Amino acid sequence: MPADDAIVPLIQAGRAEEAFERLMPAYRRRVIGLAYSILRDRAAAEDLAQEVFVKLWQALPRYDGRARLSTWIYAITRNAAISALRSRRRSVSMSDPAVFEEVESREAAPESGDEAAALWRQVETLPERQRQAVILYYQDERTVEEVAEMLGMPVNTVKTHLHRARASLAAAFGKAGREVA
Amino acid sequence: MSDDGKLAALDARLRGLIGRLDARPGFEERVMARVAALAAHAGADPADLRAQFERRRELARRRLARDAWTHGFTIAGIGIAAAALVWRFAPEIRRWALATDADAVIDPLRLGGYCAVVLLLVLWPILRRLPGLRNL
Repeated sequence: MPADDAIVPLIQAGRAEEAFERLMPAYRRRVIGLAYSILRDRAAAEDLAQEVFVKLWQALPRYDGRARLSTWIYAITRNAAISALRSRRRSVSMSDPAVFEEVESREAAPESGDEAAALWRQVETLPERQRQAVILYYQDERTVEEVAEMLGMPVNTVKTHLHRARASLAAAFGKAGREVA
Repeated sequence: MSDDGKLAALDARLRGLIGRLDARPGFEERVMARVAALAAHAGADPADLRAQFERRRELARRRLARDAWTHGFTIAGIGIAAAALVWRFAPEIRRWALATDADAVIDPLRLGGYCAVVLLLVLWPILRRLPGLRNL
Protein backbone atom coordinates (compact mmCIF):
# COMPACT_ATOMS: atom_id res chain seq x y z
CA MET A 1 0.00 0.00 0.00
CA PRO A 2 1.88 3.10 -1.25
CA ALA A 3 0.27 5.53 1.25
CA ASP A 4 1.77 3.50 4.10
CA ASP A 5 5.22 4.80 3.19
CA ALA A 6 4.07 8.30 4.05
CA ILE A 7 1.92 7.35 7.06
CA VAL A 8 4.21 5.00 9.02
CA PRO A 9 7.05 7.54 9.50
CA LEU A 10 4.52 10.03 10.88
CA ILE A 11 3.34 7.49 13.47
CA GLN A 12 6.90 6.64 14.39
CA ALA A 13 7.65 10.34 14.78
CA GLY A 14 4.77 10.59 17.28
CA ARG A 15 2.59 12.59 14.86
CA ALA A 16 -0.36 10.18 15.12
CA GLU A 17 -3.07 12.77 14.45
CA GLU A 18 -1.43 13.86 11.21
CA ALA A 19 -0.98 10.19 10.28
CA PHE A 20 -4.66 9.56 10.98
CA GLU A 21 -5.74 12.41 8.71
CA ARG A 22 -3.82 10.77 5.86
CA LEU A 23 -4.84 7.25 6.74
CA MET A 24 -8.60 7.79 6.60
CA PRO A 25 -8.95 8.83 2.93
CA ALA A 26 -6.37 6.20 1.93
CA TYR A 27 -8.25 3.35 3.64
CA ARG A 28 -11.88 4.51 3.61
CA ARG A 29 -12.99 2.50 0.56
CA ARG A 30 -10.97 -0.54 1.63
CA VAL A 31 -12.45 -0.60 5.13
CA ILE A 32 -15.99 -0.04 3.78
CA GLY A 33 -15.50 -2.75 1.15
CA LEU A 34 -14.14 -5.27 3.63
CA ALA A 35 -16.89 -4.50 6.16
CA TYR A 36 -19.57 -4.76 3.46
CA SER A 37 -18.18 -8.02 2.12
CA ILE A 38 -18.64 -9.55 5.58
CA LEU A 39 -21.82 -7.81 6.78
CA ARG A 40 -23.70 -7.53 3.43
CA ASP A 41 -25.44 -4.38 4.60
CA ARG A 42 -24.37 -0.91 3.51
CA ALA A 43 -25.58 1.03 6.52
CA ALA A 44 -24.07 -1.50 8.93
CA ALA A 45 -20.81 -1.50 6.95
CA GLU A 46 -20.60 2.28 7.18
CA ASP A 47 -21.33 2.26 10.91
CA LEU A 48 -18.68 -0.39 11.39
CA ALA A 49 -16.18 1.57 9.29
CA GLN A 50 -16.74 4.55 11.59
CA GLU A 51 -16.11 2.31 14.62
CA VAL A 52 -12.95 0.96 13.00
CA PHE A 53 -11.56 4.44 12.32
CA VAL A 54 -12.35 5.54 15.87
CA LYS A 55 -10.50 2.43 17.12
CA LEU A 56 -7.61 3.24 14.80
CA TRP A 57 -7.48 6.79 16.13
CA GLN A 58 -7.22 5.40 19.65
CA ALA A 59 -4.73 2.66 18.78
CA LEU A 60 -2.53 4.45 16.26
CA PRO A 61 -0.03 5.80 18.85
CA ARG A 62 0.52 2.17 19.95
CA TYR A 63 1.20 0.85 16.42
CA ASP A 64 4.68 -0.66 16.69
CA GLY A 65 5.36 -1.42 13.03
CA ARG A 66 5.84 -5.17 13.54
CA ALA A 67 2.99 -5.96 11.12
CA ARG A 68 2.42 -3.95 7.95
CA LEU A 69 0.03 -1.04 8.57
CA SER A 70 -2.44 -2.38 5.99
CA THR A 71 -2.39 -5.89 7.51
CA TRP A 72 -3.02 -4.38 10.96
CA ILE A 73 -5.95 -2.26 9.71
CA TYR A 74 -7.53 -5.18 7.82
CA ALA A 75 -7.22 -7.44 10.87
CA ILE A 76 -8.96 -4.83 13.04
CA THR A 77 -11.71 -4.42 10.42
CA ARG A 78 -12.23 -8.17 9.96
CA ASN A 79 -12.39 -8.81 13.70
CA ALA A 80 -14.82 -5.93 14.25
CA ALA A 81 -17.03 -7.07 11.34
CA ILE A 82 -17.10 -10.70 12.46
CA SER A 83 -17.88 -9.64 16.01
CA ALA A 84 -20.67 -7.31 14.76
CA LEU A 85 -22.06 -10.11 12.62
CA ARG A 86 -22.12 -12.49 15.60
CA SER A 87 -23.84 -10.03 17.90
CA ARG A 88 -26.34 -9.18 15.18
CA ARG A 89 -27.17 -12.86 14.68
CA ARG A 90 -27.64 -13.21 18.45
CA SER A 91 -29.74 -10.14 19.02
CA VAL A 92 -31.84 -9.68 15.88
CA SER A 93 -35.22 -11.33 15.88
CA MET A 94 -37.93 -11.09 13.25
CA SER A 95 -39.80 -8.56 15.38
CA ASP A 96 -36.77 -6.27 15.36
CA PRO A 97 -37.09 -3.23 13.07
CA ALA A 98 -33.42 -3.72 12.11
CA VAL A 99 -34.46 -6.80 10.12
CA PHE A 100 -36.77 -4.75 7.96
CA GLU A 101 -34.20 -1.99 7.56
CA GLU A 102 -31.67 -4.59 6.44
CA VAL A 103 -34.07 -6.10 3.94
CA GLU A 104 -34.84 -2.64 2.60
CA SER A 105 -31.17 -1.71 2.33
CA ARG A 106 -30.41 -4.96 0.49
CA GLU A 107 -33.25 -4.32 -1.90
CA ALA A 108 -32.03 -0.78 -2.42
CA ALA A 109 -28.44 -1.90 -3.02
CA PRO A 110 -28.47 -1.99 -6.82
CA GLU A 111 -28.75 1.57 -7.89
CA SER A 112 -29.77 1.17 -11.47
CA GLY A 113 -31.71 -1.06 -13.79
CA ASP A 114 -33.03 -4.60 -13.73
CA GLU A 115 -29.80 -6.07 -15.09
CA ALA A 116 -27.70 -4.47 -12.38
CA ALA A 117 -30.21 -5.65 -9.79
CA ALA A 118 -30.09 -9.18 -11.18
CA LEU A 119 -26.29 -9.16 -11.18
CA TRP A 120 -26.25 -7.87 -7.61
CA ARG A 121 -28.62 -10.65 -6.56
CA GLN A 122 -26.33 -13.21 -8.19
CA VAL A 123 -23.33 -11.79 -6.31
CA GLU A 124 -25.35 -11.96 -3.09
CA THR A 125 -26.13 -15.64 -3.64
CA LEU A 126 -22.47 -16.63 -4.07
CA PRO A 127 -20.89 -18.64 -1.22
CA GLU A 128 -19.49 -16.34 1.48
CA ARG A 129 -15.78 -16.53 0.58
CA GLN A 130 -16.44 -16.15 -3.15
CA ARG A 131 -18.69 -13.15 -2.53
CA GLN A 132 -16.08 -11.48 -0.34
CA ALA A 133 -13.35 -12.03 -2.93
CA VAL A 134 -15.55 -10.69 -5.76
CA ILE A 135 -16.58 -7.55 -3.86
CA LEU A 136 -13.04 -6.66 -2.83
CA TYR A 137 -11.51 -7.51 -6.20
CA TYR A 138 -13.94 -5.46 -8.28
CA GLN A 139 -14.51 -2.57 -5.88
CA ASP A 140 -11.25 -0.87 -6.85
CA GLU A 141 -9.63 -3.20 -9.40
CA ARG A 142 -7.37 -4.52 -6.68
CA THR A 143 -4.75 -7.17 -7.20
CA VAL A 144 -5.39 -10.70 -6.04
CA GLU A 145 -2.49 -10.25 -3.60
CA GLU A 146 -4.16 -7.24 -1.98
CA VAL A 147 -7.52 -9.03 -1.74
CA ALA A 148 -5.70 -11.97 -0.11
CA GLU A 149 -4.13 -9.61 2.43
CA MET A 150 -7.50 -7.99 3.16
CA LEU A 151 -9.20 -11.33 3.72
CA GLY A 152 -6.24 -12.91 5.50
CA MET A 153 -6.18 -15.78 2.99
CA PRO A 154 -3.49 -17.35 0.79
CA VAL A 155 -3.27 -15.83 -2.71
CA ASN A 156 -4.06 -19.13 -4.43
CA THR A 157 -7.22 -19.56 -2.34
CA VAL A 158 -8.43 -16.12 -3.43
CA LYS A 159 -7.63 -16.99 -7.07
CA THR A 160 -9.70 -20.17 -6.74
CA HIS A 161 -12.63 -18.30 -5.16
CA LEU A 162 -12.53 -15.63 -7.88
CA HIS A 163 -12.32 -18.22 -10.64
CA ARG A 164 -15.30 -20.16 -9.29
CA ALA A 165 -17.31 -17.00 -8.66
CA ARG A 166 -16.73 -15.68 -12.19
CA ALA A 167 -17.64 -19.07 -13.66
CA SER A 168 -20.90 -19.30 -11.75
CA LEU A 169 -21.81 -15.65 -12.48
CA ALA A 170 -21.03 -16.13 -16.18
CA ALA A 171 -23.10 -19.33 -16.23
CA ALA A 172 -26.00 -17.62 -14.46
CA PHE A 173 -25.92 -14.77 -16.96
CA GLY A 174 -25.59 -17.06 -19.96
CA LYS A 175 -28.71 -18.85 -18.72
CA ALA A 176 -30.55 -15.59 -18.06
CA GLY A 177 -29.61 -14.37 -21.55
CA ARG A 178 -30.93 -17.56 -23.17
CA GLU A 179 -34.16 -17.30 -21.16
CA VAL A 180 -34.66 -13.71 -22.34
CA ALA A 181 -33.91 -14.68 -25.96
CA MET B 1 -19.77 -13.79 -28.17
CA SER B 2 -16.71 -15.90 -27.22
CA ASP B 3 -16.21 -17.10 -23.65
CA ASP B 4 -13.39 -14.58 -23.18
CA GLY B 5 -15.64 -11.82 -24.47
CA LYS B 6 -18.43 -12.86 -22.10
CA LEU B 7 -16.05 -12.87 -19.13
CA ALA B 8 -14.66 -9.47 -20.10
CA ALA B 9 -18.22 -8.11 -20.31
CA LEU B 10 -19.01 -9.65 -16.93
CA ASP B 11 -15.85 -8.10 -15.43
CA ALA B 12 -16.83 -4.68 -16.77
CA ARG B 13 -20.34 -4.97 -15.33
CA LEU B 14 -19.04 -6.12 -11.95
CA ARG B 15 -16.58 -3.23 -11.85
CA GLY B 16 -19.37 -0.80 -12.75
CA LEU B 17 -21.65 -2.21 -10.08
CA ILE B 18 -19.29 -2.89 -7.18
CA GLY B 19 -17.01 0.07 -7.91
CA ARG B 20 -19.75 2.35 -6.56
CA LEU B 21 -19.51 0.79 -3.12
CA ASP B 22 -18.40 3.59 -0.80
CA ALA B 23 -19.50 5.55 2.25
CA ARG B 24 -22.10 8.29 2.01
CA PRO B 25 -20.68 11.79 1.54
CA GLY B 26 -19.40 13.35 4.74
CA PHE B 27 -18.06 10.09 6.15
CA GLU B 28 -14.72 11.57 7.19
CA GLU B 29 -16.40 14.54 8.88
CA ARG B 30 -18.65 12.13 10.83
CA VAL B 31 -15.64 10.13 11.98
CA MET B 32 -13.78 13.28 12.99
CA ALA B 33 -16.86 14.45 14.95
CA ARG B 34 -16.89 11.14 16.84
CA VAL B 35 -13.17 11.39 17.47
CA ALA B 36 -13.61 14.95 18.78
CA ALA B 37 -16.49 13.80 21.03
CA LEU B 38 -14.31 10.99 22.32
CA ALA B 39 -11.44 13.35 23.01
CA ALA B 40 -13.83 15.65 24.90
CA HIS B 41 -15.16 12.61 26.77
CA ALA B 42 -11.68 11.71 27.91
CA GLY B 43 -11.60 14.95 29.88
CA ALA B 44 -15.15 14.59 31.23
CA ASP B 45 -16.13 14.41 34.90
CA PRO B 46 -15.91 10.78 36.14
CA ALA B 47 -19.26 11.20 37.95
CA ASP B 48 -20.96 12.08 34.64
CA LEU B 49 -19.40 9.07 32.95
CA ARG B 50 -20.59 6.81 35.77
CA ALA B 51 -24.12 8.24 35.50
CA GLN B 52 -24.12 7.63 31.74
CA PHE B 53 -22.88 4.10 32.25
CA GLU B 54 -25.61 3.40 34.84
CA ARG B 55 -28.26 4.82 32.54
CA ARG B 56 -27.12 2.63 29.64
CA ARG B 57 -27.09 -0.42 31.89
CA GLU B 58 -30.61 0.35 33.11
CA LEU B 59 -31.86 0.72 29.52
CA ALA B 60 -30.26 -2.61 28.57
CA ARG B 61 -31.81 -4.28 31.64
CA ARG B 62 -35.27 -2.96 30.72
CA ARG B 63 -34.87 -4.18 27.15
CA LEU B 64 -33.90 -7.66 28.32
CA ALA B 65 -36.85 -7.77 30.73
CA ARG B 66 -39.22 -6.65 27.94
CA ASP B 67 -37.86 -9.34 25.62
CA ALA B 68 -38.22 -11.98 28.34
CA TRP B 69 -41.88 -11.02 28.88
CA THR B 70 -42.56 -11.09 25.12
CA HIS B 71 -41.01 -14.52 24.79
CA GLY B 72 -42.84 -15.72 27.90
CA PHE B 73 -46.21 -14.61 26.49
CA THR B 74 -45.42 -16.23 23.14
CA ILE B 75 -44.58 -19.55 24.80
CA ALA B 76 -47.66 -19.33 27.03
CA GLY B 77 -49.79 -18.64 23.94
CA ILE B 78 -48.41 -21.67 22.16
CA GLY B 79 -49.00 -23.78 25.29
CA ILE B 80 -52.60 -22.57 25.60
CA ALA B 81 -53.22 -23.27 21.91
CA ALA B 82 -51.77 -26.78 22.31
CA ALA B 83 -53.91 -27.42 25.41
CA ALA B 84 -56.99 -26.15 23.57
CA LEU B 85 -56.27 -28.51 20.68
CA VAL B 86 -55.89 -31.48 23.06
CA TRP B 87 -59.15 -30.43 24.78
CA ARG B 88 -60.94 -30.10 21.44
CA PHE B 89 -59.78 -33.50 20.19
CA ALA B 90 -59.88 -35.31 23.54
CA PRO B 91 -62.53 -37.86 22.42
CA GLU B 92 -60.54 -38.76 19.29
CA ILE B 93 -57.31 -39.06 21.33
CA ARG B 94 -59.06 -41.25 23.90
CA ARG B 95 -60.49 -43.49 21.15
CA TRP B 96 -57.03 -43.76 19.51
CA ALA B 97 -55.36 -44.56 22.85
CA LEU B 98 -57.90 -47.30 23.60
CA ALA B 99 -57.67 -48.70 20.07
CA THR B 100 -53.88 -48.85 19.98
CA ASP B 101 -53.24 -49.67 23.64
CA ALA B 102 -51.15 -46.47 23.88
CA ASP B 103 -49.64 -47.45 27.25
CA ALA B 104 -47.83 -50.25 25.48
CA VAL B 105 -46.82 -48.06 22.53
CA ILE B 106 -45.64 -44.99 24.45
CA ASP B 107 -43.14 -45.45 27.22
CA PRO B 108 -44.11 -42.75 29.79
CA LEU B 109 -40.44 -42.18 30.72
CA ARG B 110 -39.40 -41.68 27.12
CA LEU B 111 -42.38 -39.39 26.47
CA GLY B 112 -41.42 -37.33 29.53
CA GLY B 113 -37.86 -37.12 28.23
CA TYR B 114 -39.03 -35.90 24.80
CA CYS B 115 -41.24 -33.26 26.44
CA ALA B 116 -38.32 -32.07 28.59
CA VAL B 117 -36.05 -31.77 25.54
CA VAL B 118 -38.69 -29.82 23.57
CA LEU B 119 -39.31 -27.53 26.55
CA LEU B 120 -35.56 -26.92 26.96
CA LEU B 121 -35.19 -26.08 23.26
CA VAL B 122 -38.11 -23.64 23.41
CA LEU B 123 -36.83 -21.97 26.57
CA TRP B 124 -33.16 -21.94 25.52
CA PRO B 125 -33.19 -18.40 24.04
CA ILE B 126 -34.54 -17.08 27.36
CA LEU B 127 -32.21 -19.18 29.51
CA ARG B 128 -29.23 -17.86 27.56
CA ARG B 129 -30.08 -14.33 28.65
CA LEU B 130 -29.82 -15.22 32.35
CA PRO B 131 -26.69 -13.84 34.04
CA GLY B 132 -23.98 -16.48 34.06
CA LEU B 133 -25.37 -18.28 30.99
CA ARG B 134 -24.97 -15.41 28.54
CA ASN B 135 -21.72 -16.69 27.06
CA LEU B 136 -23.01 -20.18 26.30
